[in-house]
Amino acid sequence: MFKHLVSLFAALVLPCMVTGSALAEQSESDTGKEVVGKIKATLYLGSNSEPGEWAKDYVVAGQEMASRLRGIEQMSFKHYRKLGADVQPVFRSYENWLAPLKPSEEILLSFESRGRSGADGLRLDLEFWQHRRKIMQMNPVLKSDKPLLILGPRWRGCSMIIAIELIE
Amino acid sequence: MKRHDDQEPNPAELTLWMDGELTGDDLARVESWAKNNPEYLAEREAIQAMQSDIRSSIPASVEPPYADFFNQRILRAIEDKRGDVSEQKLAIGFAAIAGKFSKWLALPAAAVAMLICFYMGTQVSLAPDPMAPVVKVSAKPAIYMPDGNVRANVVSPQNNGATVIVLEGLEDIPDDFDIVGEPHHGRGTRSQMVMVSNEMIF
Repeated sequence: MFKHLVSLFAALVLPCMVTGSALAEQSESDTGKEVVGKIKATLYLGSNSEPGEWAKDYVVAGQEMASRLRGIEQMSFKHYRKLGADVQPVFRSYENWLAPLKPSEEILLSFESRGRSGADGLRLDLEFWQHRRKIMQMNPVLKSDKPLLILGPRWRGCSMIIAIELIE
Repeated sequence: MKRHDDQEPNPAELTLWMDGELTGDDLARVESWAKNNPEYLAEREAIQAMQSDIRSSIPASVEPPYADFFNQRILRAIEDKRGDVSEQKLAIGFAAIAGKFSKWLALPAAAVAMLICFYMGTQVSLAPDPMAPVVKVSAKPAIYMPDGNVRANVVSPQNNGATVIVLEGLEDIPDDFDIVGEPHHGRGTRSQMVMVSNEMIF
């Protein structure tokens, strides 16, 4: 009798388990694409002298950000302009890119999740690219109210500031 | 018709004569025949001497040691044998009942097992736990600079909440290069480079 039950198990139950598992896997999408957060990169130009005519195409940075930047010695300038911004989702296990100067690829940020850190933090593998050259690689913990600010290259007498924030 | 005395006895008679178990006329006839066959006489004497020696050294009957124990073992073996037979009968009875019962239970049991296994299979998933374990690591970011000419200074301004990184040694972007709205990189010889990141990070 036991031998018959084993045969029955092998013939019917195991295929059911395999089929059930396969169906479950099919029914779910790729979990690596699950969005675990959203980050925003904003590119500012800071200068102490009034930028030239070329800068009139770019909006003046918001008062809140300007005040925050002025509170940092290395980023304290009289004038701030916003060059561009990009918002991208953070996937669970896929890399994604931020291009705040779209369609230009002069400044790029690649990032990939490394999991939650603490209650409201998200650890990332983050790479800063300038002119298709990787400049820096780091693993910061981003929090919604604590941006990562990078003082980057100079352009037309202004200092470039990249602000990276976790917005979700 | 009476047998002649010189006639050789048959093997059975000869054996009985040698063992001393022949009697009556048969004994007289064989004795008469043996007088003319002294080798059989000698052989009979040797056999009888050997039998006499055996009788003198081995008792006629020997009581087995621990006779009670021996008998008890025999009785127990007999009882065990009887018990096995009754147990076999009982087992056959149970098997018959279970066989009839299992006929009715086999299909529902198999169906229930299939449903349970199917459900378990649907629960097997590679999906990570939505409440993934929180990794507690240093809050200070580890920074790697592939270009040795560029340095990164991490600054922690007070009352700001932000993490600040100051990159030093970066190449300035040429003033004549319109970095915004330039989908392609028109400056420098590296503009034709293809960006492929194949670094392995461990």
